[in-house]
Amino acid sequence: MRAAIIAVSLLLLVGIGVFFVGGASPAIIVAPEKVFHWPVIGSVTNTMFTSWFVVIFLVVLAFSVGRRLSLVPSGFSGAVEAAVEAFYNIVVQVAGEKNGRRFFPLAATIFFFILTSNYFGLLPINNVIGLTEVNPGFADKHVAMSQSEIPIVGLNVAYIPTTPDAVDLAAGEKAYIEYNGVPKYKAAKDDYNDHSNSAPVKETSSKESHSHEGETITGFNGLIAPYFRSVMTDVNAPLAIAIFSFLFVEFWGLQTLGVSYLSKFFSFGKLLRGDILGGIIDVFVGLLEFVSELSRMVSFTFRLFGNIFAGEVLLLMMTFLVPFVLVDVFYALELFVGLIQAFVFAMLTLVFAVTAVSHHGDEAH
Amino acid sequence: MKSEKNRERPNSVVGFYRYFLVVLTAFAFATVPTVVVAAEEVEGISKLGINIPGLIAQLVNFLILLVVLKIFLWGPILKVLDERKRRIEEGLNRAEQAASDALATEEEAKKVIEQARAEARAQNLRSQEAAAKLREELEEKARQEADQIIERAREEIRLEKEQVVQQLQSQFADLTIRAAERVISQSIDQSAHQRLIDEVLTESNFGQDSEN
Repeated sequence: MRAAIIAVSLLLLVGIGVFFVGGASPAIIVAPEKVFHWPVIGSVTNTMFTSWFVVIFLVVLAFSVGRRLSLVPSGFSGAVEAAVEAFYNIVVQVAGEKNGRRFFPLAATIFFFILTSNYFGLLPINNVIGLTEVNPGFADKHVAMSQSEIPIVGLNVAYIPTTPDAVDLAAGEKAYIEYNGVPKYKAAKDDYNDHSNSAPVKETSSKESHSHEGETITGFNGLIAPYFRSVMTDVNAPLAIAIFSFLFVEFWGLQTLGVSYLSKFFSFGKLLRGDILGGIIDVFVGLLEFVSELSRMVSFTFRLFGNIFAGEVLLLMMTFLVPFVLVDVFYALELFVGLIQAFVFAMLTLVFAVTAVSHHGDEAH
Repeated sequence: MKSEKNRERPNSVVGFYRYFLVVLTAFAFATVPTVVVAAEEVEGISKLGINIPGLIAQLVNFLILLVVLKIFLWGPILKVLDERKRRIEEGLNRAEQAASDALATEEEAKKVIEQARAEARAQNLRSQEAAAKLREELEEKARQEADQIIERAREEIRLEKEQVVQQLQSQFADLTIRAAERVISQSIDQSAHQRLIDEVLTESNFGQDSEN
């Protein structure tokens, strides 16, 4: 009986969401938007801004937990310690006791930074509060929202309106934007560049728009450049971590094997000894080895970026289509994806590091 | 011990980071800008948002995190984990030691008790033996005494008997003589003779005496 009531009310909520609320319609723009223009630093993108919060959060966590560590674990620091210990055990299992200790700081930093970033990206402040642009003129905008906005303490806070709204386009021309319509995909730049635009409206609105033409318009329609956006949806962030991962792996390889580590890439031994065919094969293999080493950075970057960005898009779309209840399922999915991607990044770095420091059988050939 | 660790740590850390920084800067100068510039020249990639300021910002972020977390979180946590592991190992060792000690003590106690019991048993046996021996001795002695008494009694009886027989013999001779006297003095016939003898015998109560 109770279960039936809950089920019915959940369905009702879904229905209300679909038919009456109408979430913000997302416009997918890949590059992070510049939201601040500060004197010394220059322009600051929203992912940069968010990443500072993540970094500050982690630093504060490190300070407060690091100071309260004790042999008898207790409270919050005990919980953090338990998580770190669990990760440490996995690292030791993969890399062994000695190497595990050496690789742990990097792997743990990667794991916890990515994890925190991803989970920070799931907070509801992301993609909601931001600079709004009624008549968008450049590509730095992220989400087009059929929504209203109010200024609170100098920030424009967007919210979901209960009445359909439209926008003052160019030169006093009014057009109705479909209230519960299809998502408005805008790769922005081309469409929004020329200011004589009626193009976006034509594309995004459907048959209904004509019937409502000339109605009084309230609210806001345009693009919002959010102040907060999930850090890993900016390619630069995964790329930066991938570069560090790459540098550390090469460094550990050099440190452990010395110059002989480089013989993996530049193996001219056979060629100099007169074995032409084998020598050329070796050189070629070394070249492949080198390229694959570099391409790891790319795969690292785009695996993480792709997953998190796709997750963000999925969440925006689901919030637009089914604002209530059902979207929670996708939030749960994103929690899982965020954890898995962080783990994969750290574990792959670890595995590459282990491969780099283990002796390869080149000399034996 | 703690000071030793402290002296060792910074050296390795400083060495590590110096070494690493050299490599980092070399790579940064060599590869990163060329990659990024190349990327920025390509319209598609710059549309993805790759740009030098953003990349540098994220590199700095990560470097800060790496250093800060290493110094303030990973280091202390590993130290605590090691210390805890050491303590637990120590505790376990000690517990094991105590257990084995207890076992040894118990063994010892058991041995002592067993020994005591054996001793008691031996003592018991010995005392029983002694008692038996004593009893035997006493019995033997008693038997001997009894035998002696009996022997003596027998001797006495024999002597008495001899005495009696002697007395009897002397009496008998006397009687015979008296009977003979009578016979001679009266000189009678055979029947009187016989009667006299009977008389004498009856008077003497010989038959009764001999029966006694």
